[in-house]
Formats: sequence, C-alpha cells, structure tokens
Amino acid sequence: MSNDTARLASIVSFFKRDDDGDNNRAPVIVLFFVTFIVSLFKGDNNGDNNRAPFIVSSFNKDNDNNRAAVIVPFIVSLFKSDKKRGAVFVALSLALVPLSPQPANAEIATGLSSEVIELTTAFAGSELLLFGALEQDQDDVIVIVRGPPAPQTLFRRESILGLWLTTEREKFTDVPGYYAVAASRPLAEIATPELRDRLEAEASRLKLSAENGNHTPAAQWRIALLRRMEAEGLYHLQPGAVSLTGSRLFEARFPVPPAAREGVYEILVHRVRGGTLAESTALHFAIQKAGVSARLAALAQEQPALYALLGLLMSLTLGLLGYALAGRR
Amino acid sequence: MQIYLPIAEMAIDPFLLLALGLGVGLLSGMFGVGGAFILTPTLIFIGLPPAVAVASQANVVLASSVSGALFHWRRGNIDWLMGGVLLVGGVAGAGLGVLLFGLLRGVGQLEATLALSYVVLLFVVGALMVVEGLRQFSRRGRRRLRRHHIHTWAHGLPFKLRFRRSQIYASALLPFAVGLGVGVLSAFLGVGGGFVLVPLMIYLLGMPTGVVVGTSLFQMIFVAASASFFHATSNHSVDLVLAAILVVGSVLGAQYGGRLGARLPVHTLRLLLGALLFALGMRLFFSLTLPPADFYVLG
Repeated sequence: MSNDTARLASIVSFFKRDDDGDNNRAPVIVLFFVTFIVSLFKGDNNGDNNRAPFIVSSFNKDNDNNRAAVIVPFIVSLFKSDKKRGAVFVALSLALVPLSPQPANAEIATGLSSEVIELTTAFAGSELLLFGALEQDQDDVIVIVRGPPAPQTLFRRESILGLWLTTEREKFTDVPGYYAVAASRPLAEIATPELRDRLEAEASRLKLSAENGNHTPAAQWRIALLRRMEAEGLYHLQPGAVSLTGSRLFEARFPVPPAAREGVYEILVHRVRGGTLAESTALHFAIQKAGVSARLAALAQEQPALYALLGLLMSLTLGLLGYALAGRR
Repeated sequence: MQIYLPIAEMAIDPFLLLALGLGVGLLSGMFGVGGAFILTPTLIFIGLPPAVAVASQANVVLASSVSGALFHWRRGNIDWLMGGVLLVGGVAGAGLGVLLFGLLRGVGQLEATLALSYVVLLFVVGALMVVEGLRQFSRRGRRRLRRHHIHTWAHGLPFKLRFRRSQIYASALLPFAVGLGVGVLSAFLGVGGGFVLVPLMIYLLGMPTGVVVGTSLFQMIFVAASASFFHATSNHSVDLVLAAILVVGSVLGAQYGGRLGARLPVHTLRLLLGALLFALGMRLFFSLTLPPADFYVLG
C-alpha cells in the first residue's frame, strides 16, 4: 500500500507544482513510463483479456486516501446531485406476494432489507438481506434468488494459427440474470433430488434452453455458462447459508455485484418439512439505475442523438476551456 | 472509492480513470499526438467492454483536437481545402468503421479483431518511434528531405484541386481515400490522428510538415465527433461518465504536457513512448496467443 501511495504522490506532486525546475521532473516521467510498462506484465500472465493488470488492483485498495485529497474536487463537483446511495438496510418493508395457490396455513413470514437497489453513479455493489420467521423450528428453509431472464450468447475460443479466436457459439434463451441459493442445512439433507430438480434448487439443476426451442444445450456449454456467470459475480454456484438468528428467526445474505442486470428479481422462500415441500413464498425486489446514472442510461437508449450531442458539447466545451487555459500563459 | 459507469454497467475507481486521462493529456501535449493509441488498449485492459472503450475515447480525441486545432488556426497552419476533403472522407470512413464494429460485435469476433489490430499497430508504431528516437540520438536535427514534384500514378487521377496552403496541385481522390481509411481506423480502433494520418499526409500526399499537424487536428475534430455520434446512435456504447472523467484528465494533462514538451529531453521521452507502445503491443499479443483462463466467453 505505502508503495502505491508513494507512487501516486510522486505523480500528483508532478502535476501540482509547475514553476520550479521542470528538468527535475524528467525522472518522474521516466518512472511513470517504466511503472506503467512493468505493471502490464506483472501478475499472472495467462492471457485472459478481462483480467485487470497490477496497476488496477493497486489503485483499488481503499486505504490510501492521499489521492482523494488532491483529485476529489473534480469528481465531487461533477456528481454532487447524485449522492444518495442505494439505500440497503434502510427500509424494513414486508412485501409479501404469495404464490398461487396460496397455502391456507402460512407459517412463514419474510421480509427484505430493501425492495429497490439503486444503481447510482456511486454504486459499487451491495448486499441484500432476507429475514424471516418460522412457526416451527424443525422446519428447513431453502431460499432461491433469480434475476430477470434474458437471452445470453456464449462463445468458445479455439486456437487458430496460434491465436485464440472465438469459433463456436450457443444462444441460450431466458438465462436468469442472477442466481443464488441459500439453505438452512446442506441441500442433500433437506430435500430429495426430485424436489431439488423441481425447485431448481441448485445451479446444476437450472433449466436452461438454447435457441430454437427444443434444442438442449450440451453439458459443457451449460457448465461453461454457469462458470462465466459466476466469474461475473452474478451466479453463486455454492449454496449459501440460511442462518438462524433466534430460535425461529432466520436470515440470508445475497451479494449484489455492480454488474447486476436491471429488472425485477424474484426470491422464492421454500419451507421444507421432512423432505417434502410444505410452503412457498415469493418476494420481489428491483434493481434499477437511479439519479444521474439512470438519466444518462435512459437518454442513451431513448434519444441517442441527443445523448451523443450532449457528449460532443461536453468535449467541445472542455477542449475550448483547455485552449483558453493554455492561452492565458 | 468506486464510481458506477451507467453504459459500461460496471464500477471502477475514478482516480484511476483521471490518472489515465492526465497521462494521455500529458503525452498529447508533449508530443502533439492523440493519446488514444494508449488510452483505448489500457481501458480494455482495466476491464471496460471494448465497445465502450473505443466509443467513449472519441470524446477525448475530440476535446484534444479542438484545443490543438485552435492553436494551429491562430498560427495559420491549417490547409482548409485539404482538411475539408480529408474530413469528408473521414466522416464517411467513421460511418463505415462503426458499421464494421457493430457487425463484428454481433458475431463475437470484435475483441479478437481489436486485439489483433492493436498488436500490429502498436508494434509498427512503437518500432518506428524507437528507430526514429535512436536515429535522432545519433544525428540530431537532421531533417528528412521532402520529395517534391515526383510524378506518380496518383497524379493521373481525376478531380484535380489546387491546395494553395500546401502548394500542391493534385487529385482530390487521394486525400479523400486517406481520410476514409483514417476515418475507419478512428471509429473502429479509436486511433488515427497523429500516428497514422500525419505520416500519410507527409509521405503520401506530400504536404509540407508545417501545415500537417494543424490540418490533421482540424480533420480529427470532425472525424472524432462523427465517430462518437455514430457509436452513440447505432451501438449505444458511449459512456458519458467515463468520457467526462477522461476528458477532464486529458485537458488538464495537456496543459502541462505542452509546456514540458518544450523543455524536457523529448528524444529520450519519444524513445520511452515507443518502448511503452511496444510493451502494450506485447501484452496484447500474449493475451491473444497464450491459452486463455477460460475457453468460453460471454457474448
């Protein structure tokens, strides 16, 4: 950490003072170049395009605040209007949408920490807390969270003349944008394989179909899809825990990554007694863009020409400003 | 601290972006080149979707072209007619580039094509810069002779125009074609201005070096603007939050870069820049040739 801070401080001090001895700064620039080049090759090098190089991971550490003191005013003034963060753990709303047919003797009460997660410009991932109470303490609970379904294409890379290029593809239909399971005990102990299949209570039991209806995707494509979704932080292939906080109170936590898709998410809470499904309850929450972020995204989709012009205007203005600033001297 | 980019749909450290913008502005101020060459691949490295990286950096190029072109305009270093012909080709090329971009994205070959193109470009330009830098070390200040009045097949083409500022009488088709090619490159890869267009203007079009930079910056304003516009309207991939941070950084960086460029050992820096480009190309080359961590990739 101190290493990064020192490096950043040297870059910052380079920009801060401008009148004395420009030649002193040549080594700093050289250092900048060299650090950049080194950072490109540091870390593991087995060629995943998506992997961030060393320079990113070092910048992402939160504990060096020196840089904030120097560069923060620019950013803050840009996004002042968008301060309200996605308020998780605030509203204690009990939105119970019973599944049909509604069981006569509902013995499960559940609630969410938040019904809406807002993707503001300050959103960096969040967590959803589900809590509930059971009537009988020998019951088991399985919680399944699913994101809004959407088509998803998966490509396979193959080595062609030494280059890894995408060759084949599979178009999945209705892939849930998010998937996570939590259970009060290991799933195999709670429910029979048949019940787990019916509930799609494990990632491996998700019903996925590929393009053109009846075509069932091959196992390797299925597994690859689940693995890639997990890598994006969207799927949790290992079941999480439904933890009992009191004698009959339970809670489960689900991380929401920044890559989370917008839309309505469904949470199914299944009460299982003696290996059979006793009751199911559905809850919903929404993930939506909010504030500046939402306005920009909506504008980009609905009025792309206006959005583009806005961007051009911004660049023009800043370019003119740059000219004016430099011309002053 | 992280900031959420609404179009890229990801969270990223804004200071990293600002630092990147500053670095690019510094380079463009020092060398008079657009920093897009470094900016776009670096953005892709740090995990931004290539579509967003390429589309959004056009706004950075636009900003630096505007301030650069104004300087050269004040000094009378712009050949308006040549710039006009180039930009007509450039805008058409930008349209083609964006079309190609969307096409490749649809069939899942965009990332590989981008990476491959960058490998070639970075290797070539990096090597040229290193060679140029080394040569200037050995014999400083010796200028390459400009070839004057050598008759080639290009002089037989129709639509001849008299480019007064450049003192050329030549067919408009050649600059149009050059503009077209550079337009495709800037919309598709996000590069083109300084690195590709300037050498073409000097060696292919035979323009005097004095007007080359100003004219290319003038042309880049329109090419970058149209690339950004086409990307936003057809691919919806311009992220204004990302662009805003990068532009602010680059405008600030250029302030210092321009003044430093006059005082620092530029030959040494040019050598380093060449090495950096080469290293970037190498990194991309590895990412293409080493077995990936996962053979499957989400579309």
